Amino acid sequence: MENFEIADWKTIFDQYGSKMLLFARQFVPNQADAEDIVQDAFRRYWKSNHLEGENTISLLFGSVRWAALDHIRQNERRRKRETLASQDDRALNDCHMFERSIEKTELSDQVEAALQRLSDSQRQIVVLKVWGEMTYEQIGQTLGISQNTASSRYRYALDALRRVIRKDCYVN
Amino acid sequence: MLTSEQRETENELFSLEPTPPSEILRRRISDDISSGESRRVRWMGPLAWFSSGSLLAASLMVLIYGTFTSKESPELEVRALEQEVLSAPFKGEDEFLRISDSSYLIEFEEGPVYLDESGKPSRDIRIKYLDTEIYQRLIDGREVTVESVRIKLSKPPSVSY
Repeated sequence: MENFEIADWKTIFDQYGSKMLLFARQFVPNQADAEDIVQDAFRRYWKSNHLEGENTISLLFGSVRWAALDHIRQNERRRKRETLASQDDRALNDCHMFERSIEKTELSDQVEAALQRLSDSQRQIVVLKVWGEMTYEQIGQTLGISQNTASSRYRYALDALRRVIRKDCYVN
Repeated sequence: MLTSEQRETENELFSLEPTPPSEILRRRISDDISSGESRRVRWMGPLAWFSSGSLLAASLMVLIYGTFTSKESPELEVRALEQEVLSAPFKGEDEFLRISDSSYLIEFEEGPVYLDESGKPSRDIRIKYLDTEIYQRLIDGREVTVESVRIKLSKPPSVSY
């Protein structure tokens, strides 16, 4: 195993940056806050002087989770003030979670809206499993739940997403 | 095992690509990591170890000799030149418990000879320590190690031969 060298962070960032950002978005409603969280998560990961190995991905996403929870705690008061002041959530949701190619725009909107209807836990598991490409074991390590719990919540989440997406299709 | 419907939904999700991070974020992380470069432990080669060991032995001999020969046995005067503070590594520090800390001498070198206030030739020794702190996360016991480099300037007592 090699030490995490300075040059390595770029490789890790290229590989996991967008996935970490998507995971961060599950905690906060806007891209700017999510980027703050990812920056903090990288700093934590870097300072931990972690040796690269099997747990790298769990530690990376675990760092995002802890950074996000700290961010939420620290900004709760400020966020309430801002929400009251602006009452305009669209200003905070100025960036989409997924890339919007022409043929995927509709699906992207549907999935983004459907994700918002899931519980926090289900949403995080879906992101870690689908876009983080993590195993149930790694998800369990990251979120502090059992492998079986991660697996069952993922299945429930897929069912819930399917219902919402199909319903939207019929409505439209 | 997933049902065919669950698998179909999963495939639809797989087809979407997360929005990439901005270039600004990349620069911010780059700045963070570059500024923390000195926390890395640079292992010295055999020659450097030999040189450092020789210098340390010579310094100790001078200190011991000075202690026994000077009338007032002046103590080693140590003052901090610079210190890279990395001791508050987490925003949620209350969720971590510091379970150990240690300090190792990793490198030192003699500074240039200069004339002190009394006009006598003097020389400082620059000593580099590696401080290691180990934190334990309270929620799951996971340990995190934080290393920082600390530099001190040691001024040996004046010795008359």
